[in-house]
Formats: sequence, structure tokens, C-alpha cells
Amino acid sequence: MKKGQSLHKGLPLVCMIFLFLCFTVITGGRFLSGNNMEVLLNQAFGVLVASIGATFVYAHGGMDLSIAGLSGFCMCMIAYCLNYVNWFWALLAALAVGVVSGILTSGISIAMNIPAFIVSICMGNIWRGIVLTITSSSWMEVPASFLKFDNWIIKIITMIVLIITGFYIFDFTRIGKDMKAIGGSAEVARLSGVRVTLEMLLAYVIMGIFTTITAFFTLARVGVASSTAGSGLDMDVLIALLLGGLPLTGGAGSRMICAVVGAFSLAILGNGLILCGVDPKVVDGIKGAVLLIVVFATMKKKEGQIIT
Amino acid sequence: MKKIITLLLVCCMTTCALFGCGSAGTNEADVADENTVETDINEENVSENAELPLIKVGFVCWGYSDLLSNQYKNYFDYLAENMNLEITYATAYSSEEHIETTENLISKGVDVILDYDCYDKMMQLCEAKGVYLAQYTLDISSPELKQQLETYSHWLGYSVCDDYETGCRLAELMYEQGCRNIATIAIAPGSSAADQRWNGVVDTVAKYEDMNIIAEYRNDDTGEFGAAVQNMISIYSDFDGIILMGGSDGASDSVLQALEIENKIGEIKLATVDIEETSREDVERGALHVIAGGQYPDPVMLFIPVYNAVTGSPMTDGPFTLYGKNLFLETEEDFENYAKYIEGDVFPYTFDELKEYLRVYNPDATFEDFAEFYAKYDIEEVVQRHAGMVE
Repeated sequence: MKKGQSLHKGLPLVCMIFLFLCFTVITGGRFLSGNNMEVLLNQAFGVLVASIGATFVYAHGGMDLSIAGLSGFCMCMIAYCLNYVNWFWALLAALAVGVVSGILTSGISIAMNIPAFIVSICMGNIWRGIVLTITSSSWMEVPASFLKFDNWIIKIITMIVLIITGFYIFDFTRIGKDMKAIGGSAEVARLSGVRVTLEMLLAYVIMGIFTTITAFFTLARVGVASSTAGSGLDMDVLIALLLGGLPLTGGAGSRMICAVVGAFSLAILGNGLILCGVDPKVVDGIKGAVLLIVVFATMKKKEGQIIT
Repeated sequence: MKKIITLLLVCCMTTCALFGCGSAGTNEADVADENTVETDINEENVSENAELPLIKVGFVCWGYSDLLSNQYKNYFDYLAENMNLEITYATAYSSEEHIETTENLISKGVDVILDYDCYDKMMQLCEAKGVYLAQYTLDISSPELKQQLETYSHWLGYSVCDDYETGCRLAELMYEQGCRNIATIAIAPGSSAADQRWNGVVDTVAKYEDMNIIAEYRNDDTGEFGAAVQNMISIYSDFDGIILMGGSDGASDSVLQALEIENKIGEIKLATVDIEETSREDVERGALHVIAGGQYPDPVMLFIPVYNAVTGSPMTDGPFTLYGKNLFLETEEDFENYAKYIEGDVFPYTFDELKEYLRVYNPDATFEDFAEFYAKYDIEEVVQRHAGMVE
């Protein structure tokens, strides 16, 4: 690997470490406390899980803006199902919804030749509308027994399993390589024998599954499915992936590590800026500036990159 | 080379941003050093700030770009100067964000958190770390949640404005203005204030046989209100009034712009809550007919019993509920007095007036007296109280 490429790929990680050290120093060590590390883990977890699934979509040059609404709907669905069945069946039911959502998003896009991100915006609005209708009279609470899943040990184990799964599928199976190939050039990929339509559909289904898992744990954390459930998740995932160095156009530069680094960078920024007492009016500006710099430094797309 | 320069820029920009911001979001009141106490002051009149312990407050709002939230911040900054407070301002919108912000504020080491939308999870986090929690301006989202919150020792209570009554009065005033076919517009269900006002309007309209709600629109994106109004105008020929449950965050601007475009200013009457900077001009040019607001002292008033509890002298045996009011501006004189006495250089409640209810100064202060004092909140009442203070 050339020296320039190493720097290019390592910049998001360097940025994350730099932010970590900065906040540690500025807060006099408070940022590094055990309690705050647990806070960071909790705050990064949801975005990380969703970002792992999103990597498959963004790697092929797609975009899914339905995940906020889908997450909210899945939270409502799980909360509803928990009144009748245990958590396992409630999760299965929600996973089915996630799969259907992925199929619908990509299926409509392919069938009607509409860009997938436009279809995803529409799907997101549909899910959000359903959530608002369901929760307009009252929020949906979950049984106290369900809250046991808001446990950092369970989350760490789940996170490790999902990261390993994501890495394996993305880097060691044909699925990941096909995603990157489509991101490089869909036509070339098709001519090379990649089943572009099927792979794109699979990417959105994977996205739907990971979004459902995010919704499951978010519901356990919040304890209630409210009208704002899942709000902002789509933009958080997008920002996390960009902070992690994932090229917005996908292709050979897409890596699963982007999801991990980006999710933690986002959590570190949000947590650290409050600990530093930064004026909230300035917070968005700082986040935007950091994002712009990272995207500028990592977004250069090289023609004809070999997919590894 | 380009990458190295970029890397250096990242480091420099981020470092400068972080160091430069420093305590910009916190407001540390000057802590009077004992050594600076003036020797000619009677020993009873010790410097006020020196008596007050440093209290760290986390204040959570939906944002700080609209007028109402800025008013909250300015008022709290004023309190911080006088009460030795260190305030960390944070934002949150969704349920997850409220919980994340609570975690971050607890990590920062605050003593109490004031939030406009509290959840059980937030209370669990606060209880575990010995941080007090109170909710301002909005009613608790459900009776079950209210009962649950009251089981925690660190739940202090909440303040709520008379939003249902405000909705009722808006509808009544619109009826008096001659409106018979109105549209109701608000943000999406889930906001206690908007929901209560909405219910008040609906219930009041139902009492009038010749008044109808011909269209409804709810959306969290207030920028879409204008498009909705234009659609309503094209569909309903007898449309003569709009009740907008909250005008902040660009909502009233969006609606007024739509009325301008459709040349319906004055023809379709508008009632709204939240007094904006341009509200007086809008009333004068006949674009706005009924307006309520001025509820920005509410979090500050909530903070008085909160402060007493945090400093070890609670005013009540358990969680309290403090009732606030929206002010209605109906006449030219109302607007003048509002601008002068409510939004002028002197806050509606000065620190000297609030001191009477701080137990560090007045150990006999009671919650009942304080609630009665706040219940009188009205433009005329403030005018009388501050007659000599405002020029």
C-alpha cells in the first residue's frame, strides 16, 4: 500500500484519536472516567449498529434515508408485540418488517427506475407517518422485564458479534466485493457478472435488519416508543460514515472500519463538546467543520482502483 | 504534501475550536472571595454571592436559534450572575437525544438538570448519580409517567403553562373576530403544549354551532406550514381563520408568507402563540389578529423551588407542580407595555423580587406564597410592580 493511501485511510482514525486526547486534556481527565466511557459506548452503539448495515448500501453508491422512520416504526412494533409475546418473537416480527422495508425500497427503485434514495425518503415519510398516527394519543411503553437489554455487557457482546459479522461479510465474501464493484461502476460490474439488481436489493435488506436491531436496543434504552422515536438516525448514520472516511459514492474505498470509527467519532464529538461546555450554538458549526475537513481529505475517488 | 497539510489543519482547527470555545456555553457567576468583602459593610450584609454555594445546572432546550429559547438563555444568564450558578446549555429533540444529553450533563458533573421533556430512563440515570431533575413549561406526557417519576427522590417536579385554556381563549377570540371556518395548524402530536392548545381549540369550537374546523395540519417541519396554508386556500373558498398552536421556529413566518403570496392578509385572520420580534408590526398591518405568549419566565420561576431543594431547603415535602400563564396581547397598549415591561431591559421578575422566595435569604418562604405570586403574572401586574424601574 502506498504511503499516501495509508495516510488517506488512516486520517479518520487519527482524527478520532486526536479528538479523544483533546477532550481528555481539556476536561482534566473527566472525559476518560469509567462512567463517561460507558456513556460513550451507549451513545455510539445505536449509530454503530445501523452504520454497519448502512455500509453495504453506501458501498454500492446508494443511500437509505428511511432508517429513521423505519427505526421508529420497529420500536412501536416491538413495544406492541411485547404485550402478547416475549422479546424473541417481537424481535423476529420487527426483523420481518426490516426485511420487507429493504425489499420495498430497492424493489420500487428497480421496478420504477427511480433513484433509491428518493424511494427511501418516501418510505421514511410513510414509516414516520405511521409512527405519528400510532403514538398520537399515547406513547407505547414496554414491560419492565424488557429493559434488561439496556445492559452494557449485552451491548458489548452484541457489538463485537455484529462488527465481526459485518467485517466478515463485507471483506471476505463476494457480497462485499460486489457492493464495492457496483459502487465503482454498476455497468462494469454487471458486465463482469455481478448480479447488480440482486446485490442492491440484498444491501437494503441488510440495512433493514441492522436498523431493526438498532431499534430493539434503543427501545430497551428509552423504555418507550414515542412520536420522536428514531428521529435523526438517518443523518447520524450518514455523518458517522463520512466521519469514518467512507466515500459517499462508494466503490473500492469503502471499508467496514469506517462505520466503527465514524460512530465512535460522532459520539466522542457530541459528548466531549458538552463536557467542555461549548455554546450549543457553536456545536453544530464545529461538527460541520470537522466533518468537512475529514470528507475533503478522504473523498478523493481514484479511477480504476483494484478491489481488495 | 497535501495530506500532511490537511492533517495539520485538522489538528489546528479542532484544537482552536475546542480551546477557543472554552466556557462559552457555561455561565460562571463571579464567586466573591471573602477577602474582597468591603470592610465598611455591616457584618450582616455580607456579599450575596459569597453566601451562595456554586450550583451547576444543566439546561436542555430544543435549540437556541429561536426567540423563546434565546429568552430562556438570557434570563438564566441573568440568574447565574446573581446566584453563583454554572449553567451548561444543551440541546435535545428526540427521546434518545434527551437521554444522551442527560448522560453527558451527568458526566459533566451538574447538580440539577432542567429539561422540557423528561423520560423515566433520564430519571433513573439522575437518581443513580444523585442529580436532581425537573421539567419546565410542558406537562408530563402521561399520567403513568408522572406517577413513575414521583417515586424517585431526585425528581423535583415540573412547571406547566395553561395551554389548554390558551387554546380555548384563542378559539373564543377568533369567534369574536368573526371567524367561522378555521384551520388548525401545529407541530406533530407528542408536544404537550401544542397538543393541549389543540384540544382546547377543538373543544371550544365544538361549543359553537356556527364555527367549524375545516382543515387540520400537523408537521414537525414548520417550514411546510406555508405550503399547507396555500393548499387550504385553494381548496376552501370560505376559509376565514387560522389558529397556529405555536409560532416559533419559523412557523408564523411560514404561514404569514403564504397569506402574503395568496393576497389573503387580513381576509384570513391569524391567531398564534409565541410572540416574535415582528409580531407587533404584523398586528399593526392587519396580518395577525390574536397573539399569546410571554411565557419565557417559566423555567426561571421553576428554578426557584428547584434551587431551594438543591441547596437543602425544599419548599415542599415532595414533587411540586407550578402553574404558569400565557399572556394575551389584544390592544395597542398591551403591545407597548409588553415591549417595555416584559421584553424590556428589566426582566419580569428581578433577582431582588425572587430573593424573597429563596430560603437562603428568607427561610420562611413557602411554596404556596411563591405559587400565588407567580399566578398573578400578567402584563398589568408587571407594569404595577415595575412602575418605578422602567423608564
